[in-house]
Amino acid sequence: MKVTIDNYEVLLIDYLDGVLDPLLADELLTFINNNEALKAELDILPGVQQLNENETDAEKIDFSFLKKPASVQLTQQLEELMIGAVEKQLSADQELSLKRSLLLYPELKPHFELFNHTKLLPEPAIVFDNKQQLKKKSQAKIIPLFTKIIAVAAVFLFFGFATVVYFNLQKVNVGSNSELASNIPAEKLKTEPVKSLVVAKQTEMLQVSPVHIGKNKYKKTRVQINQMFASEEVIEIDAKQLNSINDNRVAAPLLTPAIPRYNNEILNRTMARNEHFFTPKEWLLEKFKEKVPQSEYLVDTLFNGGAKAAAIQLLNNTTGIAYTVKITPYGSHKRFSIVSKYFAFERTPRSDY
Amino acid sequence: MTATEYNTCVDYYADSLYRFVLKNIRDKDMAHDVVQDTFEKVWLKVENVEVEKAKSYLFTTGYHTMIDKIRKEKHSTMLEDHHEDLVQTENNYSDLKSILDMALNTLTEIQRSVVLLRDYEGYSYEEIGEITGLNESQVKVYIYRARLALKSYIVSMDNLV
Repeated sequence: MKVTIDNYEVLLIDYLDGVLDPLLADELLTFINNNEALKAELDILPGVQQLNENETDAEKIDFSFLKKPASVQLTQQLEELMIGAVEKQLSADQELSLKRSLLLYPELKPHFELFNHTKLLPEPAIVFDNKQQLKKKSQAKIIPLFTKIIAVAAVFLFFGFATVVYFNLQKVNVGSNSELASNIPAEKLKTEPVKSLVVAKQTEMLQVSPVHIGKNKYKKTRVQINQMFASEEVIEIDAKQLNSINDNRVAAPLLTPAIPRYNNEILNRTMARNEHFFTPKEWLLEKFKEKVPQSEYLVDTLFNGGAKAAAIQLLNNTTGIAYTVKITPYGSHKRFSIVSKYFAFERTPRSDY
Repeated sequence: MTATEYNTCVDYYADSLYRFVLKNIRDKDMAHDVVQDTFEKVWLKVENVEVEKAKSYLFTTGYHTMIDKIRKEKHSTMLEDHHEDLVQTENNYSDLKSILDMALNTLTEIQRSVVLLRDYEGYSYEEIGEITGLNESQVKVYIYRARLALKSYIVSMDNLV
């Protein structure tokens, strides 16, 4: 192999490692000697070679410096005893041993004194200056912080919920009333006030009696909204239409204190069905526009299925339940409509209607 | 523990707890806060703390409050730097007490705590272990190393003088 400027470095490393062929090594040294620029590198070779020779004799390194003299070991044992004495943790034998050691090696006494000095002494001058602020006046009921947070959150939630409900109710009332009022002539809005449930009930109870009426009267519809009758005329006419004991029984639940319970049962059954619910406003408009003849629109309070004053009051004031009763010579059928501030539902009439 | 007993604890132990914390963290305001927080924590659990164990409970709570505070505010690093400066610049010490005070600052956090609990409050290794969360052997080792370090520091100061 010819030594060139490109391969001399590799060969030089092999030479330093002592693995280069002697002939090639001579050729390498000649090449370096002939090259002035590389000659300086050759100057370090004797030192490197010396290092290599030392490395090969690694087993000859003296590790004796790692050894500990017996006195050090003794000192460590004594230190442990001294610290034990400071800590007052020595047994009687150990104390005796320490005393003997100190007598034997008096030069260790200062060390023992120093260990004694490592004992820290409290500084009574350092005091907490305001103890009064740490004291508690009484053992008041302690409310954990998280409980307080939960309580505050609950209050906020309550007020938030109440506010939302309040504004929703306001919105329903305003919307319903304005639309309904726009469809009702002003003079009709000034009609007679609706009677309260108690008054209507008392009146009706006195008036309920079997009365024979003509066939043309069979398909009368009676409306009760929010347990209040639409008007006094409705009650009187309806009562007179009752022509049998059966009819009377139908009328009676509508007028007696059992009505709320009866209605609740209906409500529960109806609610269980997954049928379409209207808004109260939609429902009332339907009643006004479809069931009432256009000519009698808002005039008839008996057959309109909604009853103007009662309907208005329903939307204005409270949640309620409305239902209609259809009376025929063969008995009576009930068609229920449930109206609240939030929804309205009308049960599908039976096929024999 | 009743409110009265709690208030008695304040009288008895507030100073020693304050000393312990102050010696550890070397910051009066911070030590003040730690003591205050500690007593507030104890007050929250006052019904569950027995009077006999009140001191131990206080120091345990105080120790952990102090560690939390140090870690939270990253005070320890700042503290070490500060103390190194102190050691390097304050050469006009006059007595053993001030030397020991400086030597204490050269200890690690845990070494300082165990030595202070041992020397200031006289707690046993077992009690120190309960307060610091170490076992008895670890406490012994930390105290042994702390004493060696303190002694070495005193020797070095003697040589300087």
